[in-house]
Amino acid sequence: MTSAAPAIVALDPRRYRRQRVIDRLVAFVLGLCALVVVLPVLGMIGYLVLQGGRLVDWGS
Amino acid sequence: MPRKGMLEGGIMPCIVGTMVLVTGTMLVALPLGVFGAVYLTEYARPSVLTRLIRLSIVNLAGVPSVVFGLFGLGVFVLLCRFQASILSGALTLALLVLPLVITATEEALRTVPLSFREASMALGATRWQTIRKVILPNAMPGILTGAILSLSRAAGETAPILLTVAAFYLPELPKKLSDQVMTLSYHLYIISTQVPGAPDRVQWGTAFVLLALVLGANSVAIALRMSLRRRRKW
Repeated sequence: MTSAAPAIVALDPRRYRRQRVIDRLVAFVLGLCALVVVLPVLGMIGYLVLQGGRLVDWGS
Repeated sequence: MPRKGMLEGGIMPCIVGTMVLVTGTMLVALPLGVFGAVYLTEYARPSVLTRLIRLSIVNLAGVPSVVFGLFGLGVFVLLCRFQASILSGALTLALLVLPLVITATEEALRTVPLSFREASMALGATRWQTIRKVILPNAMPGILTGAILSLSRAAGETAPILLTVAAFYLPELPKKLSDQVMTLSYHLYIISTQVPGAPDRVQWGTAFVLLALVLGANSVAIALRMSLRRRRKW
């Protein structure tokens, strides 16, 4: 889906550029928020399976 | 306040502790979940990264809650040195409810008709303006319902807070984020299994309050959804 914003603010290129920068910045921040979900999964695999072994007393 | 090792007195610290913990959880999980869902629904194109995120959501939803507790103990309590505190517990619970919030928000965003997006963009709004002023307000009933259902889930969980925040007997109210708290679910577990001779009324009373809290939250969710849906013009 393409926005009509470029056509409508064509008379004000500076405003269009600013809006485009804001849009990209927002997309980046939202992407980071979505990426947060990956961290616990990787963390669980990494920390619990690999590092967690150290915390457990496996006995003799 | 509880007295004599929880054999007498009330459960005020448990109620306050549960509310504080759930509030902290929602403060972390709600923005992350909603923003993540907005990214996945409105911005993300099919790619390896998007598939990885979706796979993580599915996996995270399937992890048993006690594993979240162990993860919270390992990462927040020991690695980040937050100790057993409200912060550790809230972060652990936030990870637990994050898939729920994301899935509910995604569903809510998908119910907004495509024509709304097209109309907004045809009027010259940017993608972010469309999301902020058209999509999110129209998806709000669904998002709020998901949020409150997640809140109920967080309030009822015992295993994740067992190792990260819950105190066995702490007859005072929490003052800062680094404090431990008593919670209703953990109190119920302890009083039923670890305190010999605990009067039945304490167990049943705690169970009743927990149930009332969860049902109350769910009722608020339903009422809110109905009220917001009634305001819809489409």
